[in-house]
Amino acid sequence: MRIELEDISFGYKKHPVFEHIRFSFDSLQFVCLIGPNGAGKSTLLKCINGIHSPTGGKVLADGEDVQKMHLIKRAEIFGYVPQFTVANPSLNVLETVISGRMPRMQGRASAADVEAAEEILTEMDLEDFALRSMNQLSGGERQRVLIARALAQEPQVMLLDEPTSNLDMHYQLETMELLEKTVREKQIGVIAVIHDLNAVLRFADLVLLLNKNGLYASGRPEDVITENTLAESFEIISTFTQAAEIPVMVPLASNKTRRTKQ
Amino acid sequence: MREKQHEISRAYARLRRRKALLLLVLTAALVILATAAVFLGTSDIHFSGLVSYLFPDWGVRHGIVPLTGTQIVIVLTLRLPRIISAVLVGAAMGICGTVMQSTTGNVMASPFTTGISSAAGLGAAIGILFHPLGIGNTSVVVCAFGVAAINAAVVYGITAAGNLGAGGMILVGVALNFLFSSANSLLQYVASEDQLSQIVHWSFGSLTGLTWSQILLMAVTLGVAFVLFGKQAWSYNIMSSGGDESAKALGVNASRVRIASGILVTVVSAVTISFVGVIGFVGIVAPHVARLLLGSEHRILLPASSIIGALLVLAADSIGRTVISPVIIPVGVVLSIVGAPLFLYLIISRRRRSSF
Repeated sequence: MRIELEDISFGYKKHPVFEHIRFSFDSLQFVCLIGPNGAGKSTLLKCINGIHSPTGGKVLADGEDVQKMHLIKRAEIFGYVPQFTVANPSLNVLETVISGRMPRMQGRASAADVEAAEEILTEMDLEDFALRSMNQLSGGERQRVLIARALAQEPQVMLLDEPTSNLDMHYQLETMELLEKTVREKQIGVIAVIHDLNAVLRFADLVLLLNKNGLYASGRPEDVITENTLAESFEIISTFTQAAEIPVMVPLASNKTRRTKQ
Repeated sequence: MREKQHEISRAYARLRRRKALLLLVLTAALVILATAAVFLGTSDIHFSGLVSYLFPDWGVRHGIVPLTGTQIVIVLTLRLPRIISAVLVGAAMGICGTVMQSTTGNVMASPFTTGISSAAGLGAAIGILFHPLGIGNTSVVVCAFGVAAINAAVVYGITAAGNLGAGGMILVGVALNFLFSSANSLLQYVASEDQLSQIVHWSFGSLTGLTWSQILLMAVTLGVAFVLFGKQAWSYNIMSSGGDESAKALGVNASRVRIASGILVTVVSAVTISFVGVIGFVGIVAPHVARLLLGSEHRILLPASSIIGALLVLAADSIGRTVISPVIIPVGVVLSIVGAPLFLYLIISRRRRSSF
């Protein structure tokens, strides 16, 4: 699927979040959105799947304006894992994953919907949690269940807002591997907001770097995540090394610290 | 992998069966209580007398005196309508409470969150004071329903026009609640002693004096609402377990579902309130009790909260008309006195249990 961001802007009244983003890409890859806090990564994600209406421009999915699509059609194309886990987590894990079938059920969950949810839980090693209430899970476990729910949607593209933010090192790595597998084996595109730049360097196919002025850089991870771009967008001093043939970014200091020392 | 999947299937099927069984037990309890309630009251009416009336040969054989014509009239015109209305009112408040809590994401929401009870109260006071449709119950019922409907139109109109969401809708309801309550107080201030007594009595909620046609209207409204709410069970599941944005991402237009469901809740509540007055507590408590016993999945929760609502109102009414008989304590008063400690007990005991 071709995703086209056609001169997208978004803002609240007179406060623009980002302006005039133009970019198009094939969604069947692991795309990471990176950038400092407040750059509008989450907002851009919500503009892509139509949760937010851009204040200017439009998002096209295979040439079709996402905003003009029916809600169900959008949900068939885009799966979504929110940044903050559920406010009132009242269902059990299996029922939460079944609810991901919503765009594909006709008002009621069929045996096939239940079976699809069970299959995903098993695939994600969540079978021990299946009948536990969501409010008995840790933040990280809930995050994984919400990824399972998005997979149950059988979308063409999955959008994830900081999917690894609540996870320990083991599950961070496992989640990134799962997302990579989702792209390579399930043929579902992934667009994720990720803060861990080393994970981005390790897994992403394409990176969009946003800063306070909009889209600052885009391309392959090693071309986008450089000492210069990090100094300008994140205001940090960094250096790079290699480990197991993977580039590793080492943050040294914030620009502010450097200035203070000088 | 396949075996693990089968394990989940079997465990989920067991859980569903257990919940269905508990639902069946609650239904049986309701039927038993409703049957027993026929024989509760000041007039001495026994089950064996009724059987003897229905099957005279059996009565003669066992030497049991059948019910008299007067007793049958009491059963048909006083007790049965009262019991059926208790069941309908409780079921309506229970299911409407669940829908309001799920669509607003607020566990303290009830059918009256949007200010409908004070609106209907004001309408009833207008009916009692000015009787625009003539002296009698019709004025009260029509005015209560009318002002409740106006309240709903204002709340949902403002919510939709301003795209206010669940929180905004509740705040609009709170504002209108104060407005209607103040207007009601003003009317009470100028009311005569007799009118004031009628207004206060109406606000207690009473199951006395309902006609069969009123009961039929309540039953039809509730039946239609039940089917329509049932069709939205998965939307409610999604809305209650995440915000509007998550719902939208799953293809559910949360604001549309909230407004449509809210209007339906208003119709059901307005019909109920206009006939029986304000019976408030059950709309908040029944959904919570249902969730504690049967979990939060709306395919089970919607019928469960109806049955528990019906049980609560019927039990409260049965207590209210027997505990200091022949005086009847208003059902709303009994509900609060008995229901509050029960509710507290359930909340505390839930903390000690693991998940259902």
